[in-house]
Amino acid sequence: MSEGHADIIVIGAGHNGLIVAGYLLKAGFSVLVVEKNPWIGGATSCREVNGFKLDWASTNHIDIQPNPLLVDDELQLKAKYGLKYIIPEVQMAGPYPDGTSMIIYRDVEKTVKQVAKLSKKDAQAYRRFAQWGIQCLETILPGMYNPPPTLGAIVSELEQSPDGQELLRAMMMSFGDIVDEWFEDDRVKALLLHYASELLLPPWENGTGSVLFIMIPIMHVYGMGCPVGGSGALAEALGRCVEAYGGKILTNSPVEKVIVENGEARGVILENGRRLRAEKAVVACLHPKPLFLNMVGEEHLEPGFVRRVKRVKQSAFSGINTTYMLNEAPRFKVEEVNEGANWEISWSLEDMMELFQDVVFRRVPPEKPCPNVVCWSKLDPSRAPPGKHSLYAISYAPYNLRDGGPSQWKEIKEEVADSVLESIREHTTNMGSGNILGRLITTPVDVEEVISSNNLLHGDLTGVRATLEQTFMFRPLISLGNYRTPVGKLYLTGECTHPGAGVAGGGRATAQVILQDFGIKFDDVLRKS
Amino acid sequence: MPEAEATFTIKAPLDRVWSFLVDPRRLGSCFPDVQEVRVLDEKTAEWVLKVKLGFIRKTIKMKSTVTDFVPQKRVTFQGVAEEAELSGTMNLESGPGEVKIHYKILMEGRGPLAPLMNDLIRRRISKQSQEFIEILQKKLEV
Ligand SMILES: Cc1cc2nc3c(=O)[nH]c(=O)nc-3n(C[C@H](O)[C@H](O)[C@H](O)COP(=O)(O)OP(=O)(O)OC[C@H]3O[C@@H](n4cnc5c(N)ncnc54)[C@H](O)[C@@H]3O)c2cc1C
Repeated sequence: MSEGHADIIVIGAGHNGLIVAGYLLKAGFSVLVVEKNPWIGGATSCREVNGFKLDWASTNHIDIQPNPLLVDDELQLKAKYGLKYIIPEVQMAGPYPDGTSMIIYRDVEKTVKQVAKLSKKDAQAYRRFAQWGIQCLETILPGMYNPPPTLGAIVSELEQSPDGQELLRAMMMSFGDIVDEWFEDDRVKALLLHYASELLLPPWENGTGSVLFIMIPIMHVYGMGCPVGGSGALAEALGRCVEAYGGKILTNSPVEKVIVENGEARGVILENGRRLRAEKAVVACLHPKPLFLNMVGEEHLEPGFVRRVKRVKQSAFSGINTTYMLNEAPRFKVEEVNEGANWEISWSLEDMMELFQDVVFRRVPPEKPCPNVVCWSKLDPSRAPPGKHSLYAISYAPYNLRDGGPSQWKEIKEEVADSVLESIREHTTNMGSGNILGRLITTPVDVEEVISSNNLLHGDLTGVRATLEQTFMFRPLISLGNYRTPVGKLYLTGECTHPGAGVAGGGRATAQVILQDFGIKFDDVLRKS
Repeated sequence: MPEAEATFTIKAPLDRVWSFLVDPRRLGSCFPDVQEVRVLDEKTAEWVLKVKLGFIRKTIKMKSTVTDFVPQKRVTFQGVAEEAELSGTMNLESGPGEVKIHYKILMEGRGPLAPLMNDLIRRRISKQSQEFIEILQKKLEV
């Protein structure tokens, strides 16, 4: 491979782009990864400030834990390239303003005991919920890291059993309705709704109901992972893997155009005018809108396809993430939750519903932000200088502010971050200014412009909305659901494609389709060292 | 294609091992997922397998064919169903009071659920192969 030339060019060194590159390199292709930023990892990257590793985008690596990429260490990220996860026993803790709390442990029965403190009836319900969810997960998982079957095939298989029908029903419902059907205590509901709404959709959104039957059982069966060394450790391990296989990663190299000749992708043109030739394929880890409307160009596409690209829907809201450099880890007033490192701060259920109204209707700052607060440095000291801690606090926020639009974020980001901090302070005893050495704020506009431009449009952390009409074969849109595109030899990967949002490693499925198109059996690649 | 490969020994005479392995009904009894085996003729049989993938329960009807065999030495076979296909070889080598068997089986999903089937096969093929060996040894070793 010469530098301006490879079998396959991958646009975007997000974790998914790097995963595709890893499998293709293992199969024997030469691969060049072209990344706009000076760093790799996209929304799994970290910022290092004064010895603190700050997860300025993602922090909780959940959906990737059951991925055979990790379970079977298919690219030897763990064995050879230094990837390590800590899977904590306390997965998530919810301190409530009335002094009570609920902890979700890896162990179902320990969690049931926690729920029983709040409601005996809900404790029984939680046991059934988790057990049924684990069976749902068994049903869903084989489809998650592989190319999606058609919706028709999924429906026809599921409708053949009563449990399958229940799962189908849940898929069509909202997660709010599911929580209401199963539980009665507002505090239990608040914690589960809080967690599920990380989809960036409010609890009343239909077509989201199955999310809880994925997220909760993953915590029990596989566990949410803390990547040792920061969220960026995943991309760093992938980067080492790519380079060990002879792949090249060009950073600081924004792609402006995809070269299309005779209906096929033949390479890319960088913003600086440099042309890079792809002999066999181009893979884009990008949102379909900038990819097709700007980089490919409408002139190469059918009008019907262009219309479908333009109508892709984004999530209802985004998030503002503030990472703190601290002298000491936060101390919660509800003593019991100090056992954990990952907290969902909830007020009353009503307050939480109001927060959803605020963010959906684009008002900030909300009166009572409900951040997800994570202090992985309690488990992984490498994330901060000796004795210090780094803290992650992400709270829902709109991208397009009602007053002033996205550009207004520059003016109000400190104020909004302060309101989130205030929320944390009300639940803790030591988050005064004396404990805070500094902070880094990531607004939805920073996500769109800096961290994941051309992918997480509008700071939409999920890429494209994760409702039923944009999942499986329909993700991100009809006719793009199997990673192939209308432009020959151009493939789409990343969180805008199945299985979707989050650090999930869906690039594994994209790699399978590309290999299939080149007549290579995925299993033969897996067997190679 | 997901595959499993193993070499193991059975402490039993060669003719007993061979006649067991080429009898689809007796061979089928070594696979927990196999519900029924119908022998169609000398070389072909129909296998009914029940597999569970969470809430999805599939009854797979697979037609097997012996494509080649050298008595008491080698048998090559293939199987085709709507949902999956397989091919494999078993080589036998007789030793003092035991038979050494080397086998290799490749299996692949087909049809609309192929990616899911492959995932399932990948996760189970080694375990099932191990189970097969253990059951076979139990049945043949006295
Ligand atoms: C603030 C925030 C918090 C999050 N929290 C979590 C969490 O805790 N848990 C979780 O599971 N998920 C979380 N997510 C979502 C998760 O991080 C993403 O879904 C995932 O990382 C997306 O990975 P990707 O590889 O598909 O794409 P990306 O990471 O978006 O990668 C795309 C890459 O393409 C590059 N690129 C863009 N344009 C060009 C161009 N023209 N030329 C070359 N390169 C280009 C980008 O710079 C980027 O590196 C969060 C996301 C954000 C932003």
